[in-house]
Amino acid sequence: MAGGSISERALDWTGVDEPELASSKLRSIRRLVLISIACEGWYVLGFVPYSSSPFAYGLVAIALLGCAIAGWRDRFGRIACALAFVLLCGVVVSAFPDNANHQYLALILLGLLLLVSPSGPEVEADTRAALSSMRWIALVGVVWAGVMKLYYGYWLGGEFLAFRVASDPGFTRTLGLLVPEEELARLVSLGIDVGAGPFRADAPLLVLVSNLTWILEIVLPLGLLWSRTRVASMIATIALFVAIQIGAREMFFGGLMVGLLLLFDRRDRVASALPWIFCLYVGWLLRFDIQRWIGGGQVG
Amino acid sequence: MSGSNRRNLMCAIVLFVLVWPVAHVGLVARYRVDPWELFAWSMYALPAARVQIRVEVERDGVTSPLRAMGELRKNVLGYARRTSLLGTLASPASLVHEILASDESIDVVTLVTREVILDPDSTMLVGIEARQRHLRGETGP
Repeated sequence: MAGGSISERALDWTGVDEPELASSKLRSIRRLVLISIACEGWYVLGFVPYSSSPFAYGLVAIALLGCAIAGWRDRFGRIACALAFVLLCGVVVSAFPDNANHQYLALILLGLLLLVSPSGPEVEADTRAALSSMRWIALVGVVWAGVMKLYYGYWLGGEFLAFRVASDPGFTRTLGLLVPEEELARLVSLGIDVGAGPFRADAPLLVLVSNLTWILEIVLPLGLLWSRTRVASMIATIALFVAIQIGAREMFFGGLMVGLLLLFDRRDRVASALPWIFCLYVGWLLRFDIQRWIGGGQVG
Repeated sequence: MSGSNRRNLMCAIVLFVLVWPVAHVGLVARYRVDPWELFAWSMYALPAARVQIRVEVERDGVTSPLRAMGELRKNVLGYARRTSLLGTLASPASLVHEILASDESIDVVTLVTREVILDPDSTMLVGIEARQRHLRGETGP
């Protein structure tokens, strides 16, 4: 079906699904968004400023969990999204400016879900526009992430990665493998106080990875605009995103973005990925308990 | 709302996501907002902002550091956190008001802000200090 206005046709550049498939994808992304914010509702309870009002934010977490459970069913999907939208707005406003960027992303996605007409002749066109909007947001987001790395200039010589390898054990364990042993020891010994440095690493592989990251972030998503390259580009972009998240460990942002990128597929892959993403979230929530269990009572 | 308007609104949301990072770059340059914050897709583009705050108070012309305790200390740390995230958009008014209200003998409150950044040229961590002087009577009691 050809789109109506210019804006609708522009949205359609990221692909158009058959009505049945579109409906299935919208249901899956609704479930993913609700599950993501419900899991995060529990996760943030351990952090400032949420930890300072555990009762209020605990109630919000319980309510968001209720939204995720109710929103699994189509019948309660809309009311669950509406309630989750109001709750998340409250969380964002009360915790401002201590908000995670994916809280804004989740608000936007809930807004798009709520803009889809619940019934009537417009459902099909609304569903199509909402899915296209979500695909555009994923595409634009990944490209901007690459452009920002180029703009601020800390990725051209690998300075940012060297700094993170030096100061963040997650990056030391993963990207530290790209740094020669002596250089890694130097970086880790620098500390993070004023006067520490230099953070320009003598590690050609790290500099290569640093530059490849922003280049691929800009180039790969562009393939999502053409139907011939769409699936290959989607797989490559997700692979890049997952590789970045191994170091960054932004689980809830990662889960949402992978879900959005999977909307580019010709099938409803979000539904297939949902159990895995849910397991990832639960694993992340319980990671210290799991570590304690594996380590026989000690957390490293 | 008609179907066409709903879909135009969806398109407007996408346009907002598309152009917001440009405005955000302006906020970073003008107000030193943390590039990691406020949904501009620039997390991990550079090290996150780190701001330390020191409070100095002046009594009868004698300057000394403020030893903030309890709730006041919590609020000083809160202001440091807000300044890390929002740069100069974070208002010090309520903190200054609270410090002046805590001790009638304080004439002047100076907030010394030190932002720790990774210098792009030397790739060393450097501290940029800024001082804000608030006289009693300017911002409250």
